Amino acid sequence: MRFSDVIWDSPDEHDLFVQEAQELLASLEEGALLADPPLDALFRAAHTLKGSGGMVGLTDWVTGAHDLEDALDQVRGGSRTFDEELQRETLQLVDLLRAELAGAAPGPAESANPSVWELTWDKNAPMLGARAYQAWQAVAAAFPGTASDPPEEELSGWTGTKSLLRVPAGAGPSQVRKALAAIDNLLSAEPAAESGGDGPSPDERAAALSPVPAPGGPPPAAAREGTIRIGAASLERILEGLGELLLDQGQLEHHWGGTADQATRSVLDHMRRRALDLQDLTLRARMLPLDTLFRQYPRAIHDMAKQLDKKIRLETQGGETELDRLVMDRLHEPLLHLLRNACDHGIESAKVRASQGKPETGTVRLAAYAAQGHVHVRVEDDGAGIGWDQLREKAVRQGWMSSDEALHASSDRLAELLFRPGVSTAEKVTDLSGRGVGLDVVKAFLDEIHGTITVESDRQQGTTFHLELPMTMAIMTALIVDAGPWTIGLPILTVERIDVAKQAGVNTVLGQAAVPDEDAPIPVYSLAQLLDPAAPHEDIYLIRVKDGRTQAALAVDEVRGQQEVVVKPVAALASITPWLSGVALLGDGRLALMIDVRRLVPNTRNDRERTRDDGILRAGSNQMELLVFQLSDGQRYGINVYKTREVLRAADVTKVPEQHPWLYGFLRLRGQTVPVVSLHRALGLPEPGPDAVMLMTEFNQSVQAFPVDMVDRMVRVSWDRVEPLPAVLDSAGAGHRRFTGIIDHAELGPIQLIDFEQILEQVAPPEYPPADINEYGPVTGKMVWLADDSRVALSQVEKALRPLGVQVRTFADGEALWNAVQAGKPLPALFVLDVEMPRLDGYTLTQRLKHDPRTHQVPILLHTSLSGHWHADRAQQVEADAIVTKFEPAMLARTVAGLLLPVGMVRGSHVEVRS
Amino acid sequence: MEEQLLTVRVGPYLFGAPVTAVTEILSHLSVTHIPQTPDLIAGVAVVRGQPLEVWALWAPLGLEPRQTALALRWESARGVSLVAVDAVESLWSPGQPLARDLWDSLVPPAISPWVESGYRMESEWLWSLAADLPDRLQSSILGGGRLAAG
Repeated sequence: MRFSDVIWDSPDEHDLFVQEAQELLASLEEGALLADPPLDALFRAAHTLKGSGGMVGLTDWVTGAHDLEDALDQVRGGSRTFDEELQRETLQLVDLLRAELAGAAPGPAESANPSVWELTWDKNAPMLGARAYQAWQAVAAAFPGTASDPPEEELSGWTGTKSLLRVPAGAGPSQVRKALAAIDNLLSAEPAAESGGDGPSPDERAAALSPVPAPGGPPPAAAREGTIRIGAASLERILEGLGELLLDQGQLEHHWGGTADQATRSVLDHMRRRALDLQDLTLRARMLPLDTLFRQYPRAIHDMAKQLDKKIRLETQGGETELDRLVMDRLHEPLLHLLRNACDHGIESAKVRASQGKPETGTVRLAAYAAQGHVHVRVEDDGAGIGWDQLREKAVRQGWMSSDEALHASSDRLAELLFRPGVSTAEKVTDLSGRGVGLDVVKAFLDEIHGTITVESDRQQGTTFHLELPMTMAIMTALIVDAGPWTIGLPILTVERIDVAKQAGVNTVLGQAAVPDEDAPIPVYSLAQLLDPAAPHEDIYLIRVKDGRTQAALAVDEVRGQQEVVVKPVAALASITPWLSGVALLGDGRLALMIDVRRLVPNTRNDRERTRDDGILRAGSNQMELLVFQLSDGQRYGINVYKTREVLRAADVTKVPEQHPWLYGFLRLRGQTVPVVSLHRALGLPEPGPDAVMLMTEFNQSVQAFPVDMVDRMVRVSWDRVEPLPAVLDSAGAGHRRFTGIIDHAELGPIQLIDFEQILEQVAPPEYPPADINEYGPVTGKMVWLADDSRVALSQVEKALRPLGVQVRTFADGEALWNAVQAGKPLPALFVLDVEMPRLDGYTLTQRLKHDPRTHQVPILLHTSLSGHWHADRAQQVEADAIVTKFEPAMLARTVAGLLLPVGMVRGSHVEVRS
Repeated sequence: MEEQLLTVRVGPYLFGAPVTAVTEILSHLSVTHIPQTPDLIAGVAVVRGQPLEVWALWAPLGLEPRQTALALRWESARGVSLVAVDAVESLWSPGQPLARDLWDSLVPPAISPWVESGYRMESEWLWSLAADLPDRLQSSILGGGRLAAG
């Protein structure tokens, strides 16, 4: 007999069987995946499965369980080992029996063989709908899951004489009749199969009577698994359509609200209720239990444990917690990454664990629960914990923190470092992890879906990553407010309270408006001003918001109330306005801008800390990260890290005859031919030693390798610590000057900054635009101020601009140009600034010039050898008008010409960028 | 034969929009301005339930920004968006375009990447806009060729 053929005495009996079987199968699976399977427990599980299956007559089930029981008994007796084959057989049986349960064992509310009862009513009796409702209620009370046709929610106005009830299997006819005994005006109640007639078959009726999930509860499994598969995208479109219907309804109410008669209002109300029900239903159809995801991991952990030669078991909890399918689909990789980390870096080897008095088998626990509108997922391990001291050392080494700061940094602050790109605290890189790639990706995923991640870790006790995810991405409850000219939606989960601004006790703390709070003052920002400093605003109310670590009080003009909104992203704006999570159409036709609080509120305490500690250099900080290396003279030299790509330990260089003497030849790297340039020859040093490494660089829009004798480390230095070369050393002509400056580093001593562009220019001179360009007539004679610490670059730029007929005044670095501005000289029509300059870098200088009323309207072109969009972003941060990558003379000339043309002809607010 | 163009005005200038790209002409739009966006984006408007970005060419043409009264619903590879115009004139079947080197230097560099061809239409110049105009505008604000300074 198959499971689907079992006739149960009661739904409870069915329930009990399924529950017990699922638990036993889970323990079989879990035990089989352990390196040291608990034989007795496995045997007991197989034995109990066999026994309970036998009691209800499941023959195939019993045979399978019996065979496993036999095999396990042999292992216990020593005539067989629990080898991979037996493990596979066990897992196969688990899968088979689960399929039996899942495929043919719907829950009690949607039994496979429901019975359909036809109720015949006295046509002369009044309020038959109410009677039919009473009948459904009476039977449903005895047999939960009973459904009515017409649906129970439509019975209030029903006036027919025959209605149907679908009663779950296991409900005996006498019990159904007993439940209906007290119902008035019921002429007869008969199972539909016995009633004959030309109507639909009982099966068809049963199908027609598929239960509608009760509001507030998850849809029954069978309803979800029904016979129709529907793509997530289709559900998304249905949701969108329903959202639009609700909007239309809202607009109708808005237009007719005051004038509609009772009948119209009633229809509008009904339309709204039905649309909301359908929206809820569709949304729930998109929710899946996390088990869908979790069940993929036991095998993955098993494989990882084998690969790492460790003993690891995975415990899962809360798999029934439901999550939006769209979120879940994207959660898999981040979770897998965290599990990999736990197995690889968290759980120790059995030997180490034993020596520490821990169980040899490490535990990784994956737990989920829903709370406060979010789904929480915890990935816990009982392993070694994070090496905070190791992370402290790294933070200091990388220049992210001073030694003192690192020493006193809390684990919370240190934990934030884990999510930086390239950070790994793993002692060694393995095939699984430890490459420093990954946690930043996990963080990026959570940022994208507006979730959060935190980490707790104790040495030798283990590590827990706590993920907080939105339950759904489609609908959001928002607080709608007005701020300046905008209507704004704030996720309700971020709103802590609303105060009247005048009564909130707003004060200032060191010039920053703030309201008192239990721990510390909370900064106050005008929401309208955050969006646009010029926006008019009244700031009547204060909305206290908290999202993760971001906490602030946002002043708004009006609070319109709470609404369920469908948030729609605007693709074109995604990367321009990251604080805008989308827009929502409101019932009155207005568009609300949905705000991501963490991305809009810039200056909470924690953000300030983060900003200060951010490993990513910010434009205008006048700092750079330097990779320090040594050449054959044992002295230290430096190159901006942004010019470097990687360091190769060994590389085969193919020599090319008849080349520039500084060119060794080329090497092949990942399909690319890269020229190898000799710094030693350029600087007149002995050739590199046998242990030389290859420094791969990318600047001036090309990739090139430089052999160096040793790479020291990276240091962060301030440009104001970079001194130009002493005059006596700086007397060489532009073509012979090889350095741009020198730094006296506290730990490493003098570090010389090599003029890499100059060396490259000697090896591969650029092509200049023809001297007869005459298309830039209107710019002739205009003054351009040019700052670059490389004499070669100064000379190159002058040469490139010569065809424009402009006058060029040169400065040896940013500081010199700034001093000239301060001296009140007649200002130029354009600044062309190098980015990397001693004393004052190009970003910081741009920031100063753009904030100085005398120069803020003068266009600025940043001219840099650093490639990539990242630098375009930084240029934008400091409001540069254009950024051009070195060195394309024609492009530079065109962009300069564009910036010099009168406003209205060319300039507008957009100029060329090359990166 | 060249593709038909829908002739539109942006300020005093005459442009041609490929009829295959323009799927609708929309008037009386309610455009919500989005703060912290470049001048190229006039805002977002809702068309049959879908929020669409509204591109505006006024700023790069050196014209004062204005209220969007009329927009072309423009379909490109990236999706649907709106392009604000001041007036829609007529359908026009262009003849032979002018050689690019005759007009390239006349068109402001800020606009040049978005212009496909130049024509003489009676006593006026007409600039035909690229069929993938919204994609090019998007790429320009993302720094794929141009950097928004505003």
